[in-house]
Amino acid sequence: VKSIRAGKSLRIDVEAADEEAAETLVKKMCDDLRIYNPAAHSLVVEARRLPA
Amino acid sequence: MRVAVVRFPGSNCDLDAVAAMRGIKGLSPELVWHESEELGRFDAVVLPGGFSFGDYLRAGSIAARSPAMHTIRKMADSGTPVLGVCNGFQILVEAGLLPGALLRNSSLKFVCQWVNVRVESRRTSFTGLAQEGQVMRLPIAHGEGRYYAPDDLMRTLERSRRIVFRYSDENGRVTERANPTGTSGNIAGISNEQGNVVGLMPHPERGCDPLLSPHRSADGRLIFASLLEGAR
Repeated sequence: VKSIRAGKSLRIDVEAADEEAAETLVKKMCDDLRIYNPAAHSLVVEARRLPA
Repeated sequence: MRVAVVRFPGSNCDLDAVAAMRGIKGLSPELVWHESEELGRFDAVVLPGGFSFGDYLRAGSIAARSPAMHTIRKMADSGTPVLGVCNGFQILVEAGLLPGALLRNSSLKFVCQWVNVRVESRRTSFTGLAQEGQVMRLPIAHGEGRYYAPDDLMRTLERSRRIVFRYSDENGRVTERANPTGTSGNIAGISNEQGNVVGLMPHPERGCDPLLSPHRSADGRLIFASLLEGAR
């Protein structure tokens, strides 16, 4: 193990046309609501389609 | 001078802040619920310590979006003095009224102890009665109080003299050993550019009565009393 970095994981369900649109929507929400503090944190958004 | 002490769900230093200011002639502190629309009638605002909204997500992040903060932002922009203590400092940072971030202490433990803080700037609404270089004895009690500023922000803070307090030893020497939580540059408190918004992790309201201090000190009074000095 070379290093460990702790973080927080949030699962957010959204309605969007596709994965790309979902990522854009969630990233904007995180920026607008300051879900993370850009002075110290980085944000990674990954979209997965839920089974119908 | 009417001072609003804003209460959020989870605030727990609000009554201490009121008691501390009641002991200073000329200050009239009042508790104000965070959903109140009466904030505008006050001359100054104090955001007290505690665990607003249970510190969920990050300390201060939910309170930063409470109704009171819209008004407080406008008041701050118009020059009204705003002080954030501990959780109040975290709220001001999360609201973007002060820059940087407050991270978990470097020890990853809650730290509760009396510390020495050196006054770096008296050009704020809350340090006008202090002397630059003066060492204050105040208590800290927090788990997420490691002030962090990226290098470019540190340079800006230094250049614009917005670092208001630094952790030091009792002789005012700023050393790594005197830094209880691993903050950037030993920072214990900062201000906005205008100096009317100040946030600090130490608790001045708990350091106002010699009976409550192991050092028989009352240094915290200077921070609240400076409000009156600034109003003259």
